[in-house]
Amino acid sequence: MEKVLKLFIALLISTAFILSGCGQSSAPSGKIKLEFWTISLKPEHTDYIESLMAKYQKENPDIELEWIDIPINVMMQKLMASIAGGVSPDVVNLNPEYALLLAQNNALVNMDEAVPAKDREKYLDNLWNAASFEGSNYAIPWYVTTQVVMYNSNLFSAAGLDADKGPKSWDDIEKDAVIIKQKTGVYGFMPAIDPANFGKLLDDWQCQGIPVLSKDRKQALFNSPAAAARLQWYVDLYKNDIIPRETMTSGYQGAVEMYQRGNLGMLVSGPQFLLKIKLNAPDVYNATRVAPYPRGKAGIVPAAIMNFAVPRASRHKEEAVKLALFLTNDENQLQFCKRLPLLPSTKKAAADPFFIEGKGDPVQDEAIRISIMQLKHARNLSLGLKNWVDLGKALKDAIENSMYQRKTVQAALDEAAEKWDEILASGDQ
Amino acid sequence: MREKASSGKPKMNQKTKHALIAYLFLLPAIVILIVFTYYPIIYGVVLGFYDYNMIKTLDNGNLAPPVFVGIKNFLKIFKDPYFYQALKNSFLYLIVVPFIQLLSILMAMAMNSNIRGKTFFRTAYYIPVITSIVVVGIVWQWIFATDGAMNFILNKFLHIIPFVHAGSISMHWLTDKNIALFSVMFVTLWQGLGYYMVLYLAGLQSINQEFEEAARIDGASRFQVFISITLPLLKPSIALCSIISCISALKVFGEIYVMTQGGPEHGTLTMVYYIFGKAFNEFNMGYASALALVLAVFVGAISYINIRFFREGGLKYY
Repeated sequence: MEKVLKLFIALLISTAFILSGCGQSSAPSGKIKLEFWTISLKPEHTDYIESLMAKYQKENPDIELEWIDIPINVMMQKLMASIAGGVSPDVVNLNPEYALLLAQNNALVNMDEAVPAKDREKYLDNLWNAASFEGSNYAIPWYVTTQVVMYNSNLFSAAGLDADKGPKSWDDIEKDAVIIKQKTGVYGFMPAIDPANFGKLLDDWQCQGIPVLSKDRKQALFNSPAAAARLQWYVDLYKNDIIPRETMTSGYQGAVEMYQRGNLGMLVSGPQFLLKIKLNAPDVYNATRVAPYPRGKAGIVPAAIMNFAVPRASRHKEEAVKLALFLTNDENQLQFCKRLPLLPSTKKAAADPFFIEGKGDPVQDEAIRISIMQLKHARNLSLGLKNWVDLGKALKDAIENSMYQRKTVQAALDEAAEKWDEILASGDQ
Repeated sequence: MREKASSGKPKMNQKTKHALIAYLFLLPAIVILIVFTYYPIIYGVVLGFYDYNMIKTLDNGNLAPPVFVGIKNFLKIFKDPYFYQALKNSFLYLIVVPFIQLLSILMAMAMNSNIRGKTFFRTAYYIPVITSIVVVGIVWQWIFATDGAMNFILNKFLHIIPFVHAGSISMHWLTDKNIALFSVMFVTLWQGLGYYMVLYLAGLQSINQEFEEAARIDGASRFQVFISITLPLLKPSIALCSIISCISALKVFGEIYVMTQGGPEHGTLTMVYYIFGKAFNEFNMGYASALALVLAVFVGAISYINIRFFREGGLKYY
């Protein structure tokens, strides 16, 4: 009996030790331990990240790094649980949407204050505001892409279109999509305006030179006739079956999958998706041609940015900012961009001839060439407003009411704008 | 033992000693259950009365604590139109229960008979159960796409029907708000059949063959045997499976998360998916906990009804 008791006591004590060790942030050697999280880089880029870690730890012998890679769809849940549990990571890879949600909750370090001016200047001026909220930036930009139009030359030829000439404008995209649907039976185009990605519609309006917010940021302006006309354009495409029903449900991912199946004529996407297409559908990849993103009246293109942020719950904020600057420095970004069809966010790396010369894959090289040429026109179009979830809900409803024709576009947008005005007035913007 | 007891040491009753050892062995499991199940449940109930944002940070760098709001979250629930939509869809999801029960009983009976290749079929039917819902969801999403396999097959075969033209069928399996929920329910049915089949198979194998043989000797038909002997004796299994599948239906999440994200037009917005969105997309933990509490009440009520309904059964029936 005594033996059994002793055994259990030993078991409990060892369990307690194991559990108590879970939340340690200082390495046993007395070194500072920094934990950094990336999004979906394992296992393809394990060697790259590990080489950076080795380099950093050699340069900073008093710091020990721990790398955790997380799929994007669970990033927020994991991050919330870690912050709430008092074991926040020190540096975390986020997209602007997530970074802004955290910044609104006062959960991120202000990078305008934490990063010295000499370091800030190294980043492209139009991209530094990777997560700008109330006039301050809460993240350091990492890799970036600008969208291009990928099109399936086989489908273009089958529809009697010139496969060597891609669409140059949104009107061309519509015309080509109509012809492709008529001649081949498959859809020509699938825009990313599903309600879940309501931010894309805001980006689109801004690219078309349509103001969405008053200068004092107190009033929504997206119920203007121009904004309504643009949304009406999508509604008509949907109503006339020029774009698939999945536009409203599957979003961006659905478009990529449909394109891979060879059932979509054009895909407006970042060049990095070419890797996925090449892997999953080599025939479609070989038939893919690339054209520039059709710029609207504003002459800009939306930038898709990944960035690094430092949670305020980090125990080593200063060191964490330094690590984020290291991970995103010229040399390291350039090295990463040579592995993947991505663009860097620093001036020196973006000026490297590699992006024009390419690496021998005609489709990817062309996409990167076009993408880097567009980089100077790229803008992070996130509005960085408080109460974003509620504002988003109002706009989601407007998109659904319009696309499913429950209301006229103007009425739906008026209603959303009214809600925005209320929310903007109530929250101290 | 008697010798030891008589040696003057404090005497421990054999029964107490056994119980103590049993409790000691149970201790690790109890600790884990308390930490990872009961504590979160109790904390979830408490949070339902608080306004709590998990990541909100104060200016001094500390996390903002929950703020007590009384029954405000519950009052808000009853004014929330999305709650009613989610509740309606979750209850609609219960339609899957009788279908899954009936089909799995029939399958279990087939597996219990002497058909050829039953080991193969038993394994084949069980494979979806052990397949990840993410994989299952993605595959069915492809099948149900407008340009997917389901419409392709329908077009390939149904044009033999008069007035149906080849290529004219374009069902919106996941993109029509009136159909999407049923499409997702079909996936739940397809994935769950094997699981319930195994439970029913165990139930069938525990039925004494003599009852059926006696009925057959008395001249009962196969159908009569099924209705009057097999089903009543299977009632404990039916009760168990019904409760499990009702609870599963009310807390469906994986299929919705992967296949429709609650759309189109909230047509597949179910309670757990709604709770998840409130908690992890909007960070509104207090409101999400209150919603979960309301769902728990409904789950409890449905389970109680199930237990009442299937109270009589098994050998007690006779």
